[in-house]
Amino acid sequence: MPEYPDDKELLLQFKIPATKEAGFTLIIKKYQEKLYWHVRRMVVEHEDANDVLQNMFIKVWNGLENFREDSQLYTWLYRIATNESLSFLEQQRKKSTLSLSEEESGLSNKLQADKHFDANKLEWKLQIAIQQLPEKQRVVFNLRYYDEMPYEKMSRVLETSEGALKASYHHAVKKIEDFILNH
Amino acid sequence: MQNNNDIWIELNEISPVLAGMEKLNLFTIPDGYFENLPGQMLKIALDREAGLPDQLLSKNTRTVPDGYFNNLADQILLRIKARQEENSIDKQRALSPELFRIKNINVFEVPAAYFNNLAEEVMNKIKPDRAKLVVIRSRQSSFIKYAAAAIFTGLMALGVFKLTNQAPGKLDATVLNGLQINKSHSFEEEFAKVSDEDIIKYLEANGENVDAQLVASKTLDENELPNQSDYMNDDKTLDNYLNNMNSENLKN
Repeated sequence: MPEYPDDKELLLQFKIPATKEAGFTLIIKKYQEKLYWHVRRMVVEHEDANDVLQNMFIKVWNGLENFREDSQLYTWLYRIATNESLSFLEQQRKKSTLSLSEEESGLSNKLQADKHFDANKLEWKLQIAIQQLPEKQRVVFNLRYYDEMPYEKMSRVLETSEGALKASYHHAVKKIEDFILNH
Repeated sequence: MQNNNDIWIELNEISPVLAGMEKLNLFTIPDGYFENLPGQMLKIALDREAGLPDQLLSKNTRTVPDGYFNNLADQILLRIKARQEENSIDKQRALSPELFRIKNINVFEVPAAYFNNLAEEVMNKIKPDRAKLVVIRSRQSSFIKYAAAAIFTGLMALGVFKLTNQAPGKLDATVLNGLQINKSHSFEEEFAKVSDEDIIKYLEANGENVDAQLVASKTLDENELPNQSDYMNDDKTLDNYLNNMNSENLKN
């Protein structure tokens, strides 16, 4: 894995006009994969994830000059990616007049449309189970389970108390376990 | 600071099943996606900063298949139509799922090969020449028949009128027989016994000596004649008229 400058160095590059583009490129390179997978797990399809990611990085370009250095770049990027994903799902729901539960089953259907999908395999069951979760619970589970994000950081990303996040993660895991054991 | 092991321990406490599962990434991405993304994103950001509209941004940042824009309008129209149909079907389904389910079940039957012959049958009915010929021939035939009957009746009535003014002793047997018919009011019955051939023979032998206009003027009131439309509405119009006329004339 390539080594990238720390966030302070990247922010500095971005704020100097001569190195702004290079700094922006490095920020994308450093975080693109983590952010992509975070978004992809929320919206499921690559094309949707790509759209969300592009919108997200445009917001980063526009807002990074005003970014306050007392907060972490990593946390800020995750917050934007999460909000963009939830906004995207909200827009999809409005377009197709789906309810929240219908949207969840719609995401499950997208998973099942995958050519590699195999309902008997545990890993696919897990993915279906995750899509059954309410949106906020899904975000918490993904950040904890896949990104292995500490509650303290997650609390800043989602602007929610650590206690609430722990409870949310606990409920999410139990629901997923229940789904896997009964399907 | 929690490390990965702390997170696994926490998961294992909540769900050993989930903690025991291998973390696999089932999603796929296009080849070279992450290599190209930073360059694409920088171009998008710079284009936006330069004020390029979104439509142009899309063109600059994504490739399209050859001929894509040539067929775009048609494809959009097709999709709009398909969407409208889907919406319509969805509305019907939402309104009443049961009615929607049975909407294509046809309980009615048609004779075998009905639709094979329907076009030909309709064409036969709407061909103007054929239709006109049938109607006119029928009406002409009836009208000639009734006209002949009217003339014959007029002649008979005139004959009876003349004969009743003669002395009985000078009359021959045929005339006396006619007078008897008149008195007994059995003209209808006797007239019905006369064949068409005899009527035609009689008209051919005596019709030329008769002043038809005179007969008509004395026996028929033009204002009382049925209208053309009456004939069209009722085939028995002339029969009824003649019956009435004969009855009244014979009474006199």
